[in-house]
Amino acid sequence: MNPVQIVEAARPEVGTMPPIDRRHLRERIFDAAMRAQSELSPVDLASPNTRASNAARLAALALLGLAAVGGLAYSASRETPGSRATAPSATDVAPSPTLEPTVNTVAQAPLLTTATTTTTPPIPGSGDTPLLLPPERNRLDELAVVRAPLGGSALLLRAPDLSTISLIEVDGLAPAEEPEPDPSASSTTTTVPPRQYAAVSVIPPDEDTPGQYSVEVACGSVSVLDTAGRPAFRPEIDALFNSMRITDGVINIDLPDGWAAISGGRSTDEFVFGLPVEIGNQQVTIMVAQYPDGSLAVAGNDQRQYEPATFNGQQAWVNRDPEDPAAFTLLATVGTTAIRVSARDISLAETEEVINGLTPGDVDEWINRFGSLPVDLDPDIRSCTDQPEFNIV
Amino acid sequence: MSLNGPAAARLYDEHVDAIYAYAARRVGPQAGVEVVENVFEHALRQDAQRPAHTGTDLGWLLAMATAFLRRHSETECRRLRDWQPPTRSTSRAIPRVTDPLLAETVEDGGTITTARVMAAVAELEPPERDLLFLIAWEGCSSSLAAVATGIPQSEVRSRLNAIRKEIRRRVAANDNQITDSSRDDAPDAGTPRDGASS
Repeated sequence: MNPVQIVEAARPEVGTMPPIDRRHLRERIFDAAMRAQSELSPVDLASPNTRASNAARLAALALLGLAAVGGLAYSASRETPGSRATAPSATDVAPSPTLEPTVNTVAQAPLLTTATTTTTPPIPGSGDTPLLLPPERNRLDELAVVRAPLGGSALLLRAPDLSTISLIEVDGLAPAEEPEPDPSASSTTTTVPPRQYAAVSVIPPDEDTPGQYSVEVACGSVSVLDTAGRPAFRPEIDALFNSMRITDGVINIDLPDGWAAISGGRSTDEFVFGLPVEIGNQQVTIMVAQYPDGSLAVAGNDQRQYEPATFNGQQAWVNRDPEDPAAFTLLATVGTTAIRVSARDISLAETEEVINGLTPGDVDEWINRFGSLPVDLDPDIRSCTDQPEFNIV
Repeated sequence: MSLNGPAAARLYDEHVDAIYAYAARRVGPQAGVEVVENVFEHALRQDAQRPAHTGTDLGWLLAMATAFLRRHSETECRRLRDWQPPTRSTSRAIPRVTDPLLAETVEDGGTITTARVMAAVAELEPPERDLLFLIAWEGCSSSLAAVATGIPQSEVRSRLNAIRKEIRRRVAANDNQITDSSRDDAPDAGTPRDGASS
């Protein structure tokens, strides 16, 4: 081997940049770059600092001062009619005709100022700033974006026994063609077709996943998540299935008496970060999952049981683990964004404070700080028209 | 081309790993992160313009990384002089010999040769080292290496040949030096040093 080949063979494998360094560096670099741009751009774009513009500013200020003096004098003259003849009017102190065009500029200046000062701050959970972003240069314990499945949606129901039941539908492929029956084979046994339309077929939950039911529909699937530990096919689940009718993919649910729909909506992208905060000299990590333009049903599509709560003065839902009372999971909305917050050793009031301290931002800001969103790798497999969707009758 | 917003983010996402790998291979992970920071801070400055001759974004970034790596020349040379074979401990690797005596003998030949070559590389002029590593470690084409180093593309091949000869010459020189010094240090060396013979 020649020396270059030896060097080549000794090439160290360093892999990719450690994610935490990559993220922090990105935040540092882009924060500095954006700050530099925001500090410089008004000067560059709005008011170039040239000699001509400075002269115009000075002239405008001078005229403003003269106009003010004139206005006062005019006002004084109105109060003392007897002296009107001697008091100078505003037009009397108007500058020479050569400066008249500038007077218009002065008159317009306050309007411009007013327009800029009325800029509203970004509203968290609004269409322009649907996301809540963690403070800059903050170490995050977790960071992830999960793209929404195409055409999925979720529903969160509350049964008469106050348990919450979550349903999610996933769009999918057209059903496989049923094989033609073989006329030569005769049998007296009636075979139930595995897939039923305008009805549901239920795969019973197994021992390891109690309370999870899969319902096959024409072009996709529906999952019904009951909480773990409940008996299979308990009366509430039976009642729910009996209230379902599927027509052309639409899952019509005629909720029986005592049932309530907490929330429903389409699947949306999930933005997650784990923010360490200090509460009473103790480090606590708050996991925040956000669903812009999403629903509590999507945020709470799990097997937890949620109780009503209040968060930021609004209806919210909270789950507390009986085996770990210090931990909780909260479902709430911030504007049009649904959030799920999980933490322990922190009160709801303290959580409110943390959430309210987050910075409203949009997806571009998220990308700028944390990197591109993952490419949706799932191909669009919606090959038939009767894709499932929920409809509360 | 001044970068901002999504274009800047795209530039970072597409190339950060390549720039980091290049820097970390040469100066280690810690200094590598520093180089990456310098490169992108410089690239994203409001007045930063990619020179026309750099052709591609990657070429431009590699050129900046090469320049910023000069700040870490000492670290790089120290790492080359104290060359340690990379540990390949991935789960897919064939388990290495665990007997320390046996392991030493098995590795000796190749490792010692590599260490000698690396020590010679540490003695190269910085532009020569840049070109060598861009080609041998980063697999750059001659045009990309030319952009990153500022060497005319037509000269890349001849420079690489010259580097090869130079490394050989230095390895040989170092070997001779070692041989001479070990001969001098030997207890039965015939001639005493420093004029003791007189």
